[in-house]
Amino acid sequence: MEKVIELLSLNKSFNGEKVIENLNYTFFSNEIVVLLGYSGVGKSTLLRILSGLDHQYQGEVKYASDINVSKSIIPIVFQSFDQLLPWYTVKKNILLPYKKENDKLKIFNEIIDILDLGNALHKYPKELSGGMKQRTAIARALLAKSKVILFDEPFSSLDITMRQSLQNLVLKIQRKYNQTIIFVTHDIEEAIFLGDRLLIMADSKTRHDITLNSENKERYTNPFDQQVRKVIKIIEGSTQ
Amino acid sequence: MRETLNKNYRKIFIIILIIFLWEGIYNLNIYPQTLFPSLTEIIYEIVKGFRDFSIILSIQYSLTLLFKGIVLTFLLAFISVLLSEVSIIFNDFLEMLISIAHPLPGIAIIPLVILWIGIGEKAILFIIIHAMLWPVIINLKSGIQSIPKIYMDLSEVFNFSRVDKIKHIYFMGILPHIFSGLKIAWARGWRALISSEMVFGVVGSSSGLGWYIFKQRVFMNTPGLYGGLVIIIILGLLVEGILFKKLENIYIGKWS
Repeated sequence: MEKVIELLSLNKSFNGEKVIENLNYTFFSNEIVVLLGYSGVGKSTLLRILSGLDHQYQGEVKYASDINVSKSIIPIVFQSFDQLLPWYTVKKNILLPYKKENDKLKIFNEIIDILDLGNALHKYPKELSGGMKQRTAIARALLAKSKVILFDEPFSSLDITMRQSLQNLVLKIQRKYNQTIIFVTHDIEEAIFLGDRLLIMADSKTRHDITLNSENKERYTNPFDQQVRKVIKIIEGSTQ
Repeated sequence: MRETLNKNYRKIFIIILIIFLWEGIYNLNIYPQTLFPSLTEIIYEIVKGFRDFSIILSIQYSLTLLFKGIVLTFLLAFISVLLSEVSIIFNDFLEMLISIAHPLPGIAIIPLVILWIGIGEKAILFIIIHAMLWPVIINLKSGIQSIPKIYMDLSEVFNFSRVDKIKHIYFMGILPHIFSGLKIAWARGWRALISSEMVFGVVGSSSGLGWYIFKQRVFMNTPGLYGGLVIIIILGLLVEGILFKKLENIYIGKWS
């Protein structure tokens, strides 16, 4: 497996308070890594660093040689429904970052089909449901054809049915495009369902790396399982 | 739909009521007819003004001047807001200038303007720009502040160029504020224009609606004076109620 992003002794502070301390971690190609933990533990901060939105950190973030963080797009799908520009249609929102790239049309049509956005292309964001807005944001991110896509709690404001349908969609697109997905959530079930690996962030220093496979995934989804209880305990510990 | 229809009927009813009331007061001879003319006399004066082109020329002069003022105001406002976004010192300077100049009524600076600029078209332009510029700048600045931070993040993540950021995020983001600024500019500029035209009178061979009204008073043509006022009211309603609403619907109605 190819290393896509490598974090070496990463440290991040806000107003003198350490949020991430000495994080060493490697994200590999073609995997879904879920960053799991309660709010304020530094998950979104880490995502902002990975996307190149936050440069104020100590340590090193090494990208694969074909990713130039200042030129390449490392797309994020945010939690907020406001991540689409309200003055443009769905189609324009998706294509706007790539207007100088003429070769996107084929993949655009393919992505629109996968995400079932065909009927919404000429609608404005105010006319869309929350789920459709997030689909549009995913389409925009997918079109970058980046090695990595970042998801910052994208489904936490959706109802359970919509959330499950979009979780399946994430798995589907990851299998199709073989991208590395780094997915932030505080929902344990979502994390276990999606993740190949979990990086549980309990506090700025305490982290647990769990590799999931079909066997332990089943076990982890059982709320009475000892291991699950342990994970819950770790995360709940972070709020105390 | 029904609500709008009812509202329109109510408006028409109120206008008819005012007409009857006006004519009633006129016929009762409560006020001298030189001060309170009949509606027929007023309408006659308006028609006469249109026939001899005096009203049309005044409207053309006033609207052209106001249009020039609005264009210059927005140009100055855009430059100021842009500079205040890139320089904190300029921003502080601008804020101080706004707090000093904004409360100053246009009419109050007329004596100073006469001393500095004289009594020509430039002087009127200066006064109307002064009336419009400060609220427009405040509006545009608050427009920029209201743009959600997530749009800036998006433009960073998706590597928007500086021009794209200005075009697709800043400009589109403040578009509703540009429209509300335009409404404020129109309202304030229109008032300042009419009053300064009354003071400055004829500029060269042309004069505006303000002077038209003033002239009617000098010649004691009260129906003509009322006629001028009616024209000002109608123009105001047409621009605010129809033109601006139409433009707003075209440019921001679909998405806002």
